[in-house]
Amino acid sequence: MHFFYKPLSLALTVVTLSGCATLVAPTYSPSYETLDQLKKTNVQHLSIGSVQPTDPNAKANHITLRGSSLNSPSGTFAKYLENALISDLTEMGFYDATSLTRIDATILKNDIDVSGLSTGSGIMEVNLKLTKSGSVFFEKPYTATTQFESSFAGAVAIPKGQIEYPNLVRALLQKIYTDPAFVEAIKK
Amino acid sequence: MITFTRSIQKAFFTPSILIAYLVLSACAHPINIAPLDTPLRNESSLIKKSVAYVITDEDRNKLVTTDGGGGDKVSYYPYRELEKSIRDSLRSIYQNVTSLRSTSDIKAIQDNNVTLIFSPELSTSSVSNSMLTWPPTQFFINLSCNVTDNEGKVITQLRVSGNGSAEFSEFKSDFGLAGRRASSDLATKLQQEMLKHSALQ
Repeated sequence: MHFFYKPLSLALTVVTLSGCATLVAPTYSPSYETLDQLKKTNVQHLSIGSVQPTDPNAKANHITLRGSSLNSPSGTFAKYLENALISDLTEMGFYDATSLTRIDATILKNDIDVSGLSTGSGIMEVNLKLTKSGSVFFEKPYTATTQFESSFAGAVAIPKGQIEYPNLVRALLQKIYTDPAFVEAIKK
Repeated sequence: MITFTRSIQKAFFTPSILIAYLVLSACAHPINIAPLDTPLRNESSLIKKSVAYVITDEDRNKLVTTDGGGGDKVSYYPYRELEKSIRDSLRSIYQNVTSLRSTSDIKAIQDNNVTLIFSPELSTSSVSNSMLTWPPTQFFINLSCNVTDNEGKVITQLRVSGNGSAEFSEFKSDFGLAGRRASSDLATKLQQEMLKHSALQ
């Protein structure tokens, strides 16, 4: 029985997923060990300024997985990153929406590629700025890349790409939080 | 002519079904079961204790495969994806919450003045009532959690179950939705269970 209805299920899944489906990226989940390390540092309270691009039609806010759109649950991937930053700073006790020391970020690259037959990859690049009362005192680009096992079959490769997005954002933010230059810049 | 057509159909259709079966039966469909919501933290009503939870790297990298629909399987990382449920439940009750890689990490326990250590063990299962789609329609999580003091003495053991369900119209853009609802349910029930134990206050 299993043998006979499996192909039907797979065929329907392939049809569903191969061209017109709209998927939503899962919720961001941080590297808590990294946050626990950073929260021991005596850091200034920080606010989040703007995370660009806010335009939903900008390239950085579009990801396609073999023809299926991957959407952000927050509307745009810029908002996804902004919410992740606020969530992490709140978790560490560093967030203050009224602080004059603020983080601004611009997403330069943002993509998950599942076109390969056996391997998928993710890339995210942001330009991060720290300002105090409007003056920039730290600016640096950060790039994170991820690789994951993928598949010839779209019914496996597309959901693999979907669940990779929070891992990509985690990798990027982990890179920022463990950068000695960034940590030095936000110290009190 | 009919016989010829049937022969052609059989020649192409049967191998393609077989190839699709062989390709796709070798791997499970990946889903994410991170919670949708977790208990909120109210800074004014927190217990002024520093607690820790233990999730090893081996646990974080443990890939689990359970049943989906249509005879297919789904795979996910329960410890990695449920860490937020566990941590946020603890953070809704205690002032300071830290992650530990092991109960024997004496330095981290001392550095963080940890008084209670939670060691969660997770088991999961899933089912689908659909023969035509693979995402699970029902998801179950069982959490068993030993709580010890900073010298290893057992204080209590918590047992909590989280359940979630989702229909096709809901999960077509979020294949792990039943699992994510179960994770949210688990977080709420874990918070309630901890508040019942006077030894944990």
